[in-house]
This record gives sequence, C-alpha cells and structure tokens, in this order.
Amino acid sequence: MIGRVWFLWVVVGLWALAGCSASANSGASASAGPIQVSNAWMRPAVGMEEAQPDAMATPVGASAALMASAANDVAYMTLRNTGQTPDRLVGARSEAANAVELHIEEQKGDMMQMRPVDGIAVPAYGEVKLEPGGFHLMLIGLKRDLKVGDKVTIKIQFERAGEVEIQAEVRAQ
Amino acid sequence: MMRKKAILSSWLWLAAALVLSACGSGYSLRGGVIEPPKFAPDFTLTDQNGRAFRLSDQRGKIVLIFFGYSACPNVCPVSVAQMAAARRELLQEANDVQGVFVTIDPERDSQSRLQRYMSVFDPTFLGLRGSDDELQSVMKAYGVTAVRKEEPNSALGYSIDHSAFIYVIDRTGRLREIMPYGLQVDDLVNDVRFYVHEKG
Repeated sequence: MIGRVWFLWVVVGLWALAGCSASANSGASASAGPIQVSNAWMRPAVGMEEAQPDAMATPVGASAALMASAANDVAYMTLRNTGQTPDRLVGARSEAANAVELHIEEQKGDMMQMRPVDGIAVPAYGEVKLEPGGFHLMLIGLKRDLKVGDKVTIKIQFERAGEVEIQAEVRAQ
Repeated sequence: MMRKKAILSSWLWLAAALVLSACGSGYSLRGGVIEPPKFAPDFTLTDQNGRAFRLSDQRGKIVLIFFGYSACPNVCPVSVAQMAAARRELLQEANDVQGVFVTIDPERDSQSRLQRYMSVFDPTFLGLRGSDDELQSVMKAYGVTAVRKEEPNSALGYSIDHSAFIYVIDRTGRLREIMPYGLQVDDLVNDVRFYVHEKG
C-alpha cells in the first residue's frame, strides 16, 4: 500500500517537472491574432553607467542623460502576418531599456546611416525580417548588462493586432 | 546556401593561395590593398584606461583600426567583433595583433563608457578618444567621413552617418589595406596572417 502511494507521488512529480520545462521553452515565438513573431535576438552589450566626471572635458550641453543614453542595443526578429489584412509595427517597450524605438539602417555608398521610422509594415500573408542592414528595434539606455544566453522581454505594439510580448535571446553574433 | 558557397570559395582561395605561393608569386589578399603602401599617419589619442596611445609606438604589431561610435546599432559592433574574432582565430599569432576602436562621438563616448564598451569585444583591444580637434585631424588623415544628424524624434538625440572601413597597418607602420564593410572574418584572418608572417 505504502509502495503504491509512493509510486503515485513520483508520477505526479514527473508530470509537474515536464510541465515546468514545457513552459520554460515557450519563449521562442509569440503571437497575437494573425501576427507571429519569431527568432528574436540581440547582441551582448553593456548597460548604463552612472554619469561621472570624465578625465577629458565633455562639451558644454552634453547632459548626463545623453551620456547615459550611449548604452544601447539592437533587437532583430521575424514578423509574419498570417491574416488577410495588412498590419504595422508601430512601437515597442522593454523593462530592460529607457526607450525602444523603430529604426532603419542603410548603406549609401560608403556611408552608414541610421534613422528612426514611424512604423514597419507587415503585409497580408507576408513576412518582414528585422535584420542587420535593415529595420531593427533600438533599445536606448540599457538598464543592465546583456550577456550571451540572457533573455530580454520586449513588448511590441501593432496597429491592429495589439501588443505582443516577446523574448529576445542574447547571442554571440 | 550563401554560407556554404562562402566556405567553398574560401577553400578555393586558400588552395589558390597555396598554389600561387608554391610558384613564388605570392598570396591572395582580400581587402582593399594599398599599392604602393605608404606610412600610416601617426597620431596620439587617449585610451579607455586614460593612457596615451601613439600609433608609432605599436611598431612590431599588426594594428587594425576601426572608426565608429558606441551608439551605432550594427556596423560598428559587427566590425569590432570581427576584428576580435579574427584575433582569436589567429591563435599563436594573436599577440602580434592590436585591435583599436577610435570613437567619432567623444561627446557620448566618455572614457568610462569606452571602457565598458570595449569589454564586450576583446580585453586587449583599445578604445581611443580625444578632443574634437585631435579627432578631426586623425579622421582627416585617414579619410574618415562622419556627419552628425540631429534626431529630434529619437531618444538618441542625434546619430552619425559614417564611413566604416577597417584600416590594416603592418609591423613597420605602413598602411597596407583599407577593408570595406562586409568582408568576413576569414578574409580578415587570411590577410592579417600574411602581414604577421611577412619578412622585412
């Protein structure tokens, strides 16, 4: 009798463990309505420092906030729209940064440029990749260091589908 | 597919280089080779530890220089990470290589900021800054273009449009290559290895 109860406890325990590992793996992709987000990743980066007096004079007008804002990182991902209506990524926020903006990077001849954009269109039944050399999320004012293997929660806002919470993985490259 | 192709082509290049070197006619370099090489303009800036860095003090090492800024989203971290990866792949020759990042944004890239930024890549790499005048003269000497763009709708405040080359300087202080953005780590390894083993 005691042996049987013991066996039951083991079964319950294993079942609970299996449940835990399943939910831990669920961060790889996320969706809201017809929008699916996958393969979200970032690079290692260092977080903000306390703005401190520098050995070399800082030009007048460079505020502590500006100096601090130099701690940034970029997030890339794939956005897929399985629906028949076009949608647009219009904003983002994260607990890991002071601000998250939508940017585009472009190469014009030998010159590299970066510009903010208002939104990123996700066509009906289509896909848009945020990837090096193109669209990205810019995380400005990182609140902590990001090391390989870390996960960063980012909430991204679509015009129609609403907010999607994603986990971006910090990768070596 | 692209990657397979790249790996295949790098093997072909290696094979071609071996054949060529066996014939005594040399090695195949992949960056933008400067012919004839000229002496790299000397300069003195300050590294992330507050120490003076003079380029001409680096004689005996292969120096790789990239001009960029720490708020740069992709091109700068990729280029410096490639320099770091190349140095790691060079193994026993790694000590002959000095990686250098020169900020074009001294307003935001303070000394302590550079200290933290450089720690992401390679502990031996140096992050340099100076006064606006000092940096302007170095950038001019190396043909670096940087144009500040105000971004009132961004928390960044401004961004900087900039050129993105890796400058390769040999043991004798001559500027040998200006590598365009987009080359792969093995291209860098290939060329740096040539300069490490070069005689005279």
